[in-house]
Amino acid sequence: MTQKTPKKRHAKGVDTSRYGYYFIAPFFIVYLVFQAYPLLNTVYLAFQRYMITGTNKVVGPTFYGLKNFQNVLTKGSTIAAFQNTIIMWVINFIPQILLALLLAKWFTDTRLKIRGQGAIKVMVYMPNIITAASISVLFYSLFAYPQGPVNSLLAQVGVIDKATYLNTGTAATVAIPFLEKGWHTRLIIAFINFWMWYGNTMIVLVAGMLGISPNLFEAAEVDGATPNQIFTKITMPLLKPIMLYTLVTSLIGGMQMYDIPQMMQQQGSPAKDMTMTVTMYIMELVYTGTKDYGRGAAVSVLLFLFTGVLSIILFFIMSDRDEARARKAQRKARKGAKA
Amino acid sequence: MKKLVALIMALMMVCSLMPAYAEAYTTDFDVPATGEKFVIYSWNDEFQGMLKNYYIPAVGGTVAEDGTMTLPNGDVIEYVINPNDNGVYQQKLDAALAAGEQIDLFLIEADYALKYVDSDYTLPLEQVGITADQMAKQYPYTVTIATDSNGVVKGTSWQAAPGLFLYRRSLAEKYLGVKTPEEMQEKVKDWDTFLATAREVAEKSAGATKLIPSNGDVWQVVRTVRSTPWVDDAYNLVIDDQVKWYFDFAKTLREENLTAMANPWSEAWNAGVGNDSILGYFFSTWGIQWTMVGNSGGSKPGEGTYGDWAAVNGPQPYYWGGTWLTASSTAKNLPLVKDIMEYFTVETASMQDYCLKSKDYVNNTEAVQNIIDAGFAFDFLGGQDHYSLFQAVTPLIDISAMSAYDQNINIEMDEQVNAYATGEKDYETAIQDFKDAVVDMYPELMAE
Amino acid sequence: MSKRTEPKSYSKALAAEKTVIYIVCIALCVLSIFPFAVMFVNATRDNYSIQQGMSLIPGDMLLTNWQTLNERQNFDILQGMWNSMFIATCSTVLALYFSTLAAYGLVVYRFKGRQLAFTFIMVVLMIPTQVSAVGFFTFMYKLNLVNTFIPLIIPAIASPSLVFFMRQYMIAGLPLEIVEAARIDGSSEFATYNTICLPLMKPALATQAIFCFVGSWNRLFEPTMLINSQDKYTMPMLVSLLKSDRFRTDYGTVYLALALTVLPLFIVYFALSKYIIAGVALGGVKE
Repeated sequence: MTQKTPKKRHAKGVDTSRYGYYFIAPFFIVYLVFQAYPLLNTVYLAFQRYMITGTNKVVGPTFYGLKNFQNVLTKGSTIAAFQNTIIMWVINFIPQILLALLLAKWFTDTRLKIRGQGAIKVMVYMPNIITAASISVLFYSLFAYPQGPVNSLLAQVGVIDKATYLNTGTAATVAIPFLEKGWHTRLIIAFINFWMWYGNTMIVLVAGMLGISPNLFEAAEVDGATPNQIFTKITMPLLKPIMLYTLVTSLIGGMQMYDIPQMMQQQGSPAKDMTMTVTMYIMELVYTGTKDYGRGAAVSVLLFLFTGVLSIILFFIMSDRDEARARKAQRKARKGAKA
Repeated sequence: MKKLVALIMALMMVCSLMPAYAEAYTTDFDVPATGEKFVIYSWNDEFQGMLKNYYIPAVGGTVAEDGTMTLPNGDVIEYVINPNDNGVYQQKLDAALAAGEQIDLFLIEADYALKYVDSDYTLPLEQVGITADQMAKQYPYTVTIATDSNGVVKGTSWQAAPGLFLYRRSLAEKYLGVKTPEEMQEKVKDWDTFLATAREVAEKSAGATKLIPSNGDVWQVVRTVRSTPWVDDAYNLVIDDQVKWYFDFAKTLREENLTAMANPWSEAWNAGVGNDSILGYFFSTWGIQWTMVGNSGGSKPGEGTYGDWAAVNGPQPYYWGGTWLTASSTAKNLPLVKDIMEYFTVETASMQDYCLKSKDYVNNTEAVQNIIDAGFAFDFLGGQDHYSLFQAVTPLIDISAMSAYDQNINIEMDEQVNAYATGEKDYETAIQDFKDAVVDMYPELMAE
Repeated sequence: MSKRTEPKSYSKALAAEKTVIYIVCIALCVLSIFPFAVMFVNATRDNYSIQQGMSLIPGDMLLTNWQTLNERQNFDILQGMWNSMFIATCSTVLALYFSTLAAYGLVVYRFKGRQLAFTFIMVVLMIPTQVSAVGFFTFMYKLNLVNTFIPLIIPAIASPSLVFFMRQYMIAGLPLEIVEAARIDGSSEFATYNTICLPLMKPALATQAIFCFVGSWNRLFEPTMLINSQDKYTMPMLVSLLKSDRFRTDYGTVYLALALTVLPLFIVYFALSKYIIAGVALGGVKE
C-alpha cells in the first residue's frame, strides 16, 4: 500500500489486524464451497478435448494442449463475437456515463435546487427493474417490420416515403427491417442497455457524491469556490473511486452482455453475425448442437483474460493512489472546516 | 408440439357444439403401487392436461385442487416442465439423465427425436411391454421416427402430424375467383403454380393481401420433403438440390414482395390469421385447432375469421411436428409407463374418445376411420371434414431426410437464406457461411 | 450598477438552465415510463387486439386475463411470488451484510495478504457467470442441492461486485477516525461494524439493496436450470412458462404476468427509494 496510515492499533495497544481475516472469511468460504470447483473445472476443460456430439456420444475428456485455443482463435466466431461485444458496450457506455454524470451534477448542485428529484430518480431507474425478457418483447414490437410504431413514425416525419409506406402492399419495400440489419440491431441493443443502466449509474454517482462529507463543500464555499470549481476540484476527485467502480463493473458486465442481445435476436435473422456476443457464443458452443465443453471453456478463459487485462489497465490509470488522495483531501477539509 | 392443452381449452370454447361426446370414458386400472412418485419430463403442460382431463378420470384417479394427480393405487404423478426457450428443456433433461435422476417418462419432438431415440437414455418399448403388434394401427412414419439405428422401437406417439394448406374462403373468392377447395387445390398444386398464385393475389389485392406470411412457411414444407438428410453416414454435411431450389424460391418471394414478411411465430404472423393481410398458411393437425382457432379472433362461425377457412393438400405432402412418449433409462415404474402409453397411443377406444373431445388428430388409423365414418365436420373450416384429407395424406409422408441435427441446422439455414434473399450475401458466400456455422456447431461433421 | 444587474442576469441564466434541465428530465421520465405504460395497458387487453397493434388506451379484458392466468394448470401466482420474495430477500440480506463485512475488513484493517484478497475478489468479479455455470449445475447435482433454494441464496454471500462497491464507497465516505474513536470508547470490532459502520453505509446499502433484490428477483437462468418442482417456481420462471408456448402465446396473459412480476419490485423499490431520495447520505460524519 502506498498509503501512509499508522498501523492500526487498538486503543489499548492490541493489534486488531487479525479481524481483517475474520471479516473477509465468509466471502471466501462461500466462494470456495460454491464457485471454486466449477471455476477450476472450466479452466481444466479448456485444455481438454471433451464434447457430447449431436447424437449424444461422449468424446473425451482427453488432454488437448492448446488446441482448443488455437481452434477458437482461427476458426468459428470468437473474434467477431469479441468485436461485437466491445462495439456494443462502447456505444452504450459513453453516452451512459456522460448523461449520468450530468444528471448527478444537476441533482447535487445546491445552487440549482432541482425540484422533484426524488420522482425523477425513481422514474429513470425504473427501466432497470423490468426483466430483459419483457423489455425485449416490447422493443420487438416497437421495431416491428414492415408495420410497426417506429417505422410508422419514420413515415410520419418523412424519413421513409409516406405514400409508399401507407399502402400495405408496398410498405415492405420502404420500411426498415431493423432487426434483420446488423448495425441497426447493434444500435438498438446498445440503446436498450444505455436506457436500462443510465439511471442505475446516476444513482451510484449521486450516492457517491452525497457520501462526500458536506463539510468539504461548506469549507469550499466559505473559501469562495464557484459551483463549477467545487464540482471539478472536490466532487470529481473524490468521486474517482466510485467512477472506477462504475467503469469497471460496466466493462465487466458489458463484456458478459447476454440476455438483451440474445432476446433481441430473432430466429434466423441475418443480423446475428453482427450481434452475437462472447457469452452468447460460449453458450452456443456449450449448449447448442454438439456440446463442446473444451472450446466453450477456452473462449471463457479468453474472455476472462481479456476483461482482466483491461481492468488492470483501468486500475493502473485511475488506481488506488486516489485512495490516499481522497483521505488526504478529507482530512484537510475537515481541518479547514474546523479552523 | 404444443397442442393439446390448448386443444382442451379450445374444446371448452366449442364444447357446446358437441354435447354428445361429453360422456365420461372409463377403463380398468391394475398397476401395482410403488409408493414413489412417477416423474414425467416435458416442455409444456399439454400432456399434463391430457393426463388430468382424460387419463386420470378414466382410471378413477383424483386431481387435487392444487393440480396434484393421484392414481387409484395412491401413487402421485410429478410433472416437471422446462420451457423449450433457449434449449432449456433438453439441457435439463440431459443433466438429469446424466446424473441418474429418476425420470419415468419423458417427451420428445420430431426435430430432435433421433437424438434421444439413438441414445441409451431411452428404453426399447418391448422392455416396457409394448409389442410391435400393438402399434400396428399407428401411422408407420411415426413408428419409423421412434426407431433407432438398430431397428429397435424406442418411442410411441399419440398423434400424427400431416400438414395441409389452409386458406381463407372469402379472400380466395375475392382475389382468385375460387369457390371450392377443389378449385383452390388447382391453384396451389405445385410450387410453380403456387408462385403464380402468389403473384396473382398480390396484384389483384394491390398488395393488401399476400398468399403466405413468409418464405419461412414454405420451408416448413420443403424441409420435410427433401430427399437426403443433412448428414450422411460418413458425417458429411449434404446440401441437396431442394435446398438450392429453396434459396432461389425465397429470393423470388422476397424480391417480388410476395409475402407479408411475417416470420413464423412472430406477432404479425399470429395476427395474420385474424385479419385480411394473409390468405393462407401451412399448418399441420395440431396447429389448426390450437394456433389458428386461438388467433382467429372468434370462437364460433361469424366471429373474426372463424369459419372462413378451408383446407387443401397444397403442393406437397408434408408433416410438421409431433410428440413422442419415451420410457427413460432411469425409470422406476415401467408398468405405469406401459399403461399410459397404451391409453394414449394403442387402445382404439380411448384414443377415439380423446380425438373427438380434443380434436387432436390421433395416431390410430382405426379410430380416425371410425370418426370419419360417423360423419365429421369442423365448423372452423366451414364444416369441412379435414380428417379425410389427413387420412389420405399421412401415408404419403416421407421421413427419409430426417436426422438428429435438423433443429439446429434448419435455424442456421434460415439465417443464410434470409441473408441471400435480402441481397446481403451472394449464394456462394451464404452457402460457405452456412457450412462454417454448421461445422462450428457440430465439430464432428465435415463440409467438403 | 453592475452589482445590481449581475445577480439579475445570473438568476435569469439560472432560470434558463433550470428550464432546460426540467425539459430533459421530463423527457427522460417519459422515456422510462413508456414501457410500463404499455405493459400495464396490454395487461388489460386481449391477445387479439394486442396482436393488431400497440395502444395506450386500456382495454377491458383485465378480469378475463386474470381468470386465464389462474386457470392455467401449474400456475400458482401467489406461490411464485412467495418463492421469489423469499429467495430475493434472503439473498439480498446475506449479500449486503457479508459483502459489506468483507469490504470493511479490507478497508479498515491492514493485514498481510489484504491486497491479494482484494485482487482475488476483483478477479472473481471478472469471471463471466455463464462460464462456470455448466460446472456449477453439475456440482449442485453432486451435492444433491438441485431443486432447493440453497444454490440460489447462499452463493450471494460472495458477491464480488458488492464488495467492490462498498470498498470504493468506504474509501471515499468512511472516516477511519470514527472507527478509532469507537475503539477508544471500548467498542469491540464486530460491534463497531454493526453499530457504527452499517448505519453510516445506509445510503450505499439502500442503493445496493435495490440492485441485489432486483437482480435476484429477475434471475431466470439459474433457477430454470436448478428448480424442477412447480411449487418452487419463481415469478420469472412462471412468465417464461407462459411465454414459452410459442405455438399459442396469449399475450394478454403474458403481459398481466409481467405486470404482476414487476409489482413487488415496485413496492421494494419505492420503500427503499426514500433513503436515496431523502439524501440520508448527508452527514456521513457527525462531528
